[in-house]
Amino acid sequence: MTIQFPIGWVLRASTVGFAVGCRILQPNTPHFGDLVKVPGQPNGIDVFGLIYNVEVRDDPAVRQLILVGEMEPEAVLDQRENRLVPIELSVLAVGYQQGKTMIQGLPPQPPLSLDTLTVSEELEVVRFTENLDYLRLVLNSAQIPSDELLVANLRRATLARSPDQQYPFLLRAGRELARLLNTDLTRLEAILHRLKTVISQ
Amino acid sequence: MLCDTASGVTPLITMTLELNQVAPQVKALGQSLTGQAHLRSEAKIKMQALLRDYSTAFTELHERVVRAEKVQQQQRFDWVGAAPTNEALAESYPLPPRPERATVIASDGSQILPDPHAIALYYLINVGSIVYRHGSNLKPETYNPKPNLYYDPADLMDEQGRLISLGEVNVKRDMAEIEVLTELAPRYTEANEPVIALMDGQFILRVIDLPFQQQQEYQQLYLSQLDLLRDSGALVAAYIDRPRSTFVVALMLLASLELAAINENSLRSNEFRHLTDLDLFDFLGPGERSAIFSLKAKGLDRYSHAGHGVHFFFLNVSARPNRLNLARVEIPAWMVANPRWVEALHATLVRQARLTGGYPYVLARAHELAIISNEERQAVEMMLALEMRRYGLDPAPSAKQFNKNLLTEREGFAVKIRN
Repeated sequence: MTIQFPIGWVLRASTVGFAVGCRILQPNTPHFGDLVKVPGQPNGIDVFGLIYNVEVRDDPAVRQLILVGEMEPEAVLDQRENRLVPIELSVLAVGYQQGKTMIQGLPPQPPLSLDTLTVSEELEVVRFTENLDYLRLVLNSAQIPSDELLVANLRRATLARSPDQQYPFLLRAGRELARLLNTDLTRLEAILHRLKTVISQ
Repeated sequence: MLCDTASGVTPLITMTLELNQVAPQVKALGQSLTGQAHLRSEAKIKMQALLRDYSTAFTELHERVVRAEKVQQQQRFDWVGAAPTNEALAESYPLPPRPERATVIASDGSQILPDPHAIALYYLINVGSIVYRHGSNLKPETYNPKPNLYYDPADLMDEQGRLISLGEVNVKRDMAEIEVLTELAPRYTEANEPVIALMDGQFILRVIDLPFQQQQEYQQLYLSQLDLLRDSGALVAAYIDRPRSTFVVALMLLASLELAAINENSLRSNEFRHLTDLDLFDFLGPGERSAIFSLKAKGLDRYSHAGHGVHFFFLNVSARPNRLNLARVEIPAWMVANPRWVEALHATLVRQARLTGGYPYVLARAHELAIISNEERQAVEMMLALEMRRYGLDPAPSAKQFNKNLLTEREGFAVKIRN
């Protein structure tokens, strides 16, 4: 799937990650595990990240409507599309592109507030995941659901490939995970078990 | 400040209000409210009995209203009150079936008031509006006309060089609100469904703070807008939440007096002064409305002559039997003449208010679309300061404002904007 329009704007950022505000019901609102990009930094760097949390923020007006319980479809549409129900995406920075070089790891500088966020198109996902160095960064990230994030991301990266490339990619990813988690076999087994479902689909 | 921030301890905010001195007064206020409730309860029983006794005594009541109006003319005394129409006063009118489809258009405005202490003299009016189509499954349409920034000396000063009054800014805002309704209504009235143009607050334009000549001009403009709305085929109503009016109380005071005893003194010594109309109509059940009354007051003739004579009813929009949520709904005379229109309005307003639990959804949203936040005001001032610097001007607030800003910076500016 190719999405090239901005889907949100950076609210706050650091080199390890950033939060993005977006409106609901944009066509194809991004999913947990998607590879996203903040393009066109002043320093010429495009920052890549993985969405590890999608949060619908609290809104007193919405809460009131729910409490009353007399919802009408028109009011729901108004709240969702006109009032910009605040959605906040949390993104883990996993790489950046400088010129034509794609580097996996934390970017030298974070994006700036109000920078736009786009979801990477399939070709970009394939290109980024040719190198799997970012897996270590995800596994080592604290306070995020890293195992779930890896499974969701590898599933998308697999489906972005042509059918004949899907199994070889998963095999390579599994081997890399086995190397990284050779001291934690229980965790490795859980991740590999989840990845097996991708093949069965 | 009682402790420093460097230590990481949350600072205590300096309090200027001596709460220990307010506390006994709050206690006295509580006692006073209890006493007032007792007085009100007694007066209410009397007044509701009068309402029942005179429920259909239209002729007697009209005679008394005419008498009160004469007192007004002779004694330079402003009598404001209600007069009956042809509906029984003590009746409750049940919630009619709601139209399957109905369109409600609402607008609301807000403004930044002119401030002699700001970096420049200006004022700004912003209007928000929404079109909500019940039963359509369509997203409501929101519409914000271009905000108007007034900075020309002709807009800011009168002929004597006095700064525009806050009253006139309010009138300009009210005019902007109705103009949006007039612009939008004809776009929706072709469909075979009721279209309601809903205003927030009173139906009439409040011009009391303006010089006489301006009052005349603005009223004329306002009436032309009402004509346009009527001609568009839209129903028009104004919604007043938790009104403090005493129009029907004034009518019941007349009912309690002998015709010959109605004079300035008897009208001024009102034994029912503790009551408001809300007390009188607490018998309305969920979704029910009161009888329709016409509003009598000096200065409303102009509206009556144009066919827009002001009428009103009280409406309990609550969905629960044990909870009263009364509003006053004002409508023009030409709507009263058509019971189907009144029914459509009645049912749709209840439907709107029940969406939010007590206040029409469209009015809440129009307010949200119009409101100017502190941040937005500061952004306007920032843009203004940049523009002034570009032309070599010094964008400085007055010394008073500068010092106020310093003191209030911690807690945000106290901004004089109407919500």
